[in-house]
Amino acid sequence: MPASDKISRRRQLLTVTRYELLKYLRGRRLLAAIILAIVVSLLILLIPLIVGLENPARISDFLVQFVSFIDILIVIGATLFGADALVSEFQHKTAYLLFPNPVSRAGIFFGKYLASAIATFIMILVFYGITGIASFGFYSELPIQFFYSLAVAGLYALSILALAFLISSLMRGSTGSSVLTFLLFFLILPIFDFGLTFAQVKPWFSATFASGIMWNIVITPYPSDFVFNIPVFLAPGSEGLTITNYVPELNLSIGLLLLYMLFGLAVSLRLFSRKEMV
Amino acid sequence: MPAAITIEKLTKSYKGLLALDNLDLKVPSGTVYGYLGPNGAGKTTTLKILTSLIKPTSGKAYFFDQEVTKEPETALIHVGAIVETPEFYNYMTPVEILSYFGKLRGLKNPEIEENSSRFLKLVGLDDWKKKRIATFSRGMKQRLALAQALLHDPQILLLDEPTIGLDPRGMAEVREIFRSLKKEGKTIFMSSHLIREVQEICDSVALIDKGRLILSNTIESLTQKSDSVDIEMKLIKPPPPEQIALVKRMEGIESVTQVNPTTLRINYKGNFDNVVLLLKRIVNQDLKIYSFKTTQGDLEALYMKMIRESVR
Ligand SMILES: Nc1ncnc2c1ncn2[C@@H]1O[C@H](COP(=O)(O)OP(=O)(O)OP(=O)(O)O)[C@@H](O)[C@H]1O
Ligand SMILES: [Mg+2]
Repeated sequence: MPASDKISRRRQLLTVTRYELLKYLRGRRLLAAIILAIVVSLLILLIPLIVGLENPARISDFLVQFVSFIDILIVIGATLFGADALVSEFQHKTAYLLFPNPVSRAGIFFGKYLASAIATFIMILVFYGITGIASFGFYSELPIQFFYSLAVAGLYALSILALAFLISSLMRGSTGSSVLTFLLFFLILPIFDFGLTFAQVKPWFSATFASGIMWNIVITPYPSDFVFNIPVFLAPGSEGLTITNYVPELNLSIGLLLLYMLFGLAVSLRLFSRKEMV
Repeated sequence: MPAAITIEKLTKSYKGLLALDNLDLKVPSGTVYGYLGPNGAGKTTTLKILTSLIKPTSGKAYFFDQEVTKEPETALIHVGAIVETPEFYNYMTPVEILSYFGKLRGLKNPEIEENSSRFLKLVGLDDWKKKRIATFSRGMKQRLALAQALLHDPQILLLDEPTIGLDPRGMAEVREIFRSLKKEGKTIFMSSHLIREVQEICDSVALIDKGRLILSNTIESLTQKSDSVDIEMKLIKPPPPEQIALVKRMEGIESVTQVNPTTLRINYKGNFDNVVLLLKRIVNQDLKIYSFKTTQGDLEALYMKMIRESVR
């Protein structure tokens, strides 16, 4: 008797996205993210002016000042919008209402991922928007490298969000998932990168290390690893130290971030699809 | 036409604990089916499998001819459900929740608007439809859960203790809603601990314990099986002992208990035709009766008996 009427899967996915965004709006998360992006970019802009520093001679140096902070904003975006996206449905028992709908888990999953990407992109765009206006105001130009950086920031956001989704599909509580996401990308992996660098090993495989392409790409020509020596008088008792400043390679890092994104999505989708609401 | 719900050899084990054990059940289209069983019997587990919240360890389930254990996205189109005590997204309003789920179920916007306002009125949430759910009481959330289950006018309703948390008037209203759904030919499969309620609104019941089906049948044939009738009789003033003794001696009377000074409970062996005669005889005794109620086919008594037997 029942008609086998088909429901548009694409419409379902976009519906999930739309209502996820509504939740971000109502919970004021999106507002917090936008305000944060504004505050951070204004601080970078105003502090040098207040303490009376001249703007750098080269526009690329000016831009690097800004975009070297974008990675932390993206990590905050992933924490706010990705880390609890999956786990909260189970923890807050809303899955009892959502899952009995004629919608696939994959539809819910990608709808949520799209929403988290849109929210994080909004945050990124606000930050780059202010950076771009400032650059144009001081130098009357906006180099193409600025847009390259923006594109790479988008990729980094997609890949960190996918990894945040992975954490979200593994954890049992929203708070734990958020804290772990933030600490992992803000503290643990950067310390790991630093340790490897110190031990003269290039952490090319690390997502947080790869994020360096977001500001290196602003510099022309694209920089490469360089070694600097610390003279004996700054490091007494030694014969002088050499430290290599590793620069993530552009193509390799882009490929790596794509790989992390696909890995994060594939594994978390599988876990989310199989997870039982018990 | 296939049954509205078909459950075939459904088994679910939670790390060794058998929550469902080879369950077979058919719910014919258009019936109101009560799903009974003690705490932990496996009722919610069954409903969770039917709504794709969990996967069975083995076995299958169908809505009409669509296998929900295989293709939940298509099979669930015709189903509205309340499982456990659901929670809503706190920051949203009832109208927004209904429009969210309406869209997921493929309804068009005008339909969503019309049905939302109709069902929010029906469950008594009209004044609250634009308020954030965060502040709702448990009963209000239960009403909203019912509204979302009805939203797309589904053929099949799966309800896990649907009147839990409702006030007495709310319960009566919901029973009324179920009756009118039945008239529309909908199939309702509901778990409940309120046996009176089940007896009042359901056509059939299934009783499970420890994940196994103990019995399933229409309420009519279940309750007519027993040939003894319980009668509750209320009198204006306490009857003198000799009159009670007289009643006790009447033909077919198994026992007479004085529940309180003005209430007698009589257990009688015989059918309804004989009860008419019994009543005549008792009235002739000049007892001042103002209420005479048979609890013939009391489902509750049957339930207790079956559960006791299943424990053994
Ligand atoms: N997540 C779980 N892990 C382990 N055991 C579980 C889980 N969920 C349910 N069970 C067990 O499965 C059995 C059936 O539980 P279920 O919730 O289906 O019972 P029920 O009939 O709905 O009971 P109630 O009337 O109390 O709602 C119980 O023994 C319960 O302990
Ligand atoms: Mg239950």
